Amino acid sequence: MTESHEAFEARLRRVLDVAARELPVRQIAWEEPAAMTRRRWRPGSPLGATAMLLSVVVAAVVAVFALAVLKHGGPSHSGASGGPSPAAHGNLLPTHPSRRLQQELLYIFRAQDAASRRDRACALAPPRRIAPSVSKGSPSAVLLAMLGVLRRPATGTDALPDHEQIADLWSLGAQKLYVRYIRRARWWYGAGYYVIPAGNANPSRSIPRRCYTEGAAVLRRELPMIPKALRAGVLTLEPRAVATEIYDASPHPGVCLAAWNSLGGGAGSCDISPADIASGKAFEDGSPTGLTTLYGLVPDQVATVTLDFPAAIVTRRVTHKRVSVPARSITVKAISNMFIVLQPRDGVGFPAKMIWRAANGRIIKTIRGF
Amino acid sequence: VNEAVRRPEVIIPRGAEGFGDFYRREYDRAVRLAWLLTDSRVAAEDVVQDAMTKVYRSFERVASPEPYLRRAVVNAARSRHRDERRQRERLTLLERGRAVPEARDRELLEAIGELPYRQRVVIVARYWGGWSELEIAQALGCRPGTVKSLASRALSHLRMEVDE
Repeated sequence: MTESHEAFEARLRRVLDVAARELPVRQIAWEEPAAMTRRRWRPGSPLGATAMLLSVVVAAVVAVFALAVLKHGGPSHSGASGGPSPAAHGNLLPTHPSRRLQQELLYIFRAQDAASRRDRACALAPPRRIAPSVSKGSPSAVLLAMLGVLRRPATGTDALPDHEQIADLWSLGAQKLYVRYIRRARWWYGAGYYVIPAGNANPSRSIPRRCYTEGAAVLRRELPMIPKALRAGVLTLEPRAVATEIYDASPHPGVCLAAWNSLGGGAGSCDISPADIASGKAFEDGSPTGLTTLYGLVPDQVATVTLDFPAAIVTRRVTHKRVSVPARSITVKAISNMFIVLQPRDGVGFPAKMIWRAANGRIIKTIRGF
Repeated sequence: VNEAVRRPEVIIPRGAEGFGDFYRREYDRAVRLAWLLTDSRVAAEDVVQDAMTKVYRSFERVASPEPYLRRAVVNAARSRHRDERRQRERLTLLERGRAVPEARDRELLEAIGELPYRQRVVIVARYWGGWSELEIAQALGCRPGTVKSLASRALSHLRMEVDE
């Protein structure tokens, strides 16, 4: 008999608590890091004079630049960071909000949190426990126009591996899978990389609209607690934050990306919208073959993808020694709308920049800020 | 300074608690969090030392250093998580979980260990740490909607694993 959601959650808490308590923590005495000691230049030294001169020059350059930006109308703080463009997603928040935006959002989300504590229906809903529905229809015209891999006729290699059947794909959280359009885009180092279009690729479940109204009421009550400098921004941002939350939880079409090796191991995720693909945000990291791999979708016209990994300090396995990894740029071909690249070294994280090029070498797009 | 983690109602008056007090108070829990995220005691201690150093740099400027520490631990544990996962795959040795008596609970713990990193953070933070969605979103640097989505996927996956 399947245990209830509440019982399962209680078991999760118990197991994690036992595992956490298993560790005998021995507190290491805190030593002030040597690097924290601030170096001071001596005013009389030549180095001091150079530092002073440099600081004056830098300050002057910054002031001139700031004046130029002000004169030409700089961007407002809201939405100044990267993320999906408003044109693509309406007036939604960027995926990675700027610091200022986060500061304002904090108060909005806290108000929503407070509302959800009072109303159980506003809390996180348990996941669906049903097999995904399937459709014999076709994905949206936008998606088909964007991804040639979906337009090509299906072949025998597009069939899901034996260990993965449609009914088992419920863990992806998607519904209305367009089964006639499932494609194995790549077979790479012993793993298949599949593109699975879905009528609803969003695994989130929506909460009642009243939750947002309750959140807004809490926010207005707590307004005096918010620093004065932020109040106007918070109030202006609130409808946009709610719109984003509603969008995040609403059904929307897109694709799932899944990678499986022949033993059944793998990873997958959904909720990749056409806008995500167009803006270069449609990629995943996983290790279906035991090696950390980045793989993603690109539109038709992209022939090569260059990923610029910044220099990083990573920790070696076993010895745990820290080593510096130099910056590295990797260019790979996009085949069947998909690029796959091995991470230069575990721990270096996502690339700082991705460049899309057409077949003739022309730069189509440069994407930063993942 | 990550000003996004400011919490006006819990401002600790400077002078009332120095970094040393904060370190002693938070160290134990931070190491256990890192332990649940990396599966390695050595890595957990390293991660927390790194995170504490980061907090130290900004301690005087942040009103509430706890969320800052949580985010630093989650970020620092991410790379270790990958290292440790690969190492564990090779050695097929599960250091953690010996104190969990029941086989089905050990299975659940192993399944948590196999989750993608962000899903694992969400599960550990929510069910062990008791963090709110907002706090998890802050630690992961994403939107609360993303946390919901990650939690939903993680729970589905865990249910599937343990129900098999």
